Amino acid sequence: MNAPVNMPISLTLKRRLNASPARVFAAWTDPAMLMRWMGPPGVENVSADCDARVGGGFRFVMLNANGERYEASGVYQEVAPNEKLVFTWAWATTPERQSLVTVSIKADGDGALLTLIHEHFADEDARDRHAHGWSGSFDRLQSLFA
Amino acid sequence: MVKYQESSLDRTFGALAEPTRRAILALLCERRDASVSEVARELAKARPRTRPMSLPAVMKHLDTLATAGLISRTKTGRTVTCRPTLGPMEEAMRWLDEHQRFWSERLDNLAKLVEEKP
Repeated sequence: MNAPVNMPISLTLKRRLNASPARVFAAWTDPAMLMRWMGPPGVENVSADCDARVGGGFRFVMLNANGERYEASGVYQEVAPNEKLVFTWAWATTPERQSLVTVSIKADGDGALLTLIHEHFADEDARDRHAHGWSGSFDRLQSLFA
Repeated sequence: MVKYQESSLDRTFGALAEPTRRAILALLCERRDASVSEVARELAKARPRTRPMSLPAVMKHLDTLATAGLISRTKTGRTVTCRPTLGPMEEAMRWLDEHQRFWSERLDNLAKLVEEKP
């Protein structure tokens, strides 16, 4: 097993989208577009602020169907236009528990393939090293319950 | 107790952040229980090309798993039996479930938006 030992848990989601990588990237980095998908539509006090540059920050304020407020914020670690975004992620309720999100966008025919990896840091050391790529962990973890 | 609550998730992830310990846990989940020497034997079997881990080394991993509450140990005579206890794992799974639901919903929205005809 070659998995980095500092990445005990991660979540991977893949989506094929009928849109160009540039449009998908814009949806992640343009606050006006983010507003239209990060929070449920029609809710007034949902906001999305982002400064998609390395070291820049973002803050999303969301309301779920029950009116519960969620707020997430983080800092961009890597920004490759139309290809990749890496940012830290923390919920306002647990600011000390920082995780890492990697969004990769690849051209796929006339569309795009989006891969989202959300990694949970075990501790501060792991956060500082923020190694990537243990996407199989979720499957392995699940297989423990099989 | 409160302190335990705060750090238990981190301890679970810390304990899981090591391939040997994940192998031990997978093994215990599969067999339901095993003695320390059986754990050592199964580990050696699973990695035929590497030098077998010493019993004290195996016991150290078991200590870490026990501290994280991922296994329980009971002593009968000279045999220590280990069993998986999945409470903390369930907490880890909950984190995954919540975030999976969150991102799945968001990506549904994202798909709708970017696939709209301009």
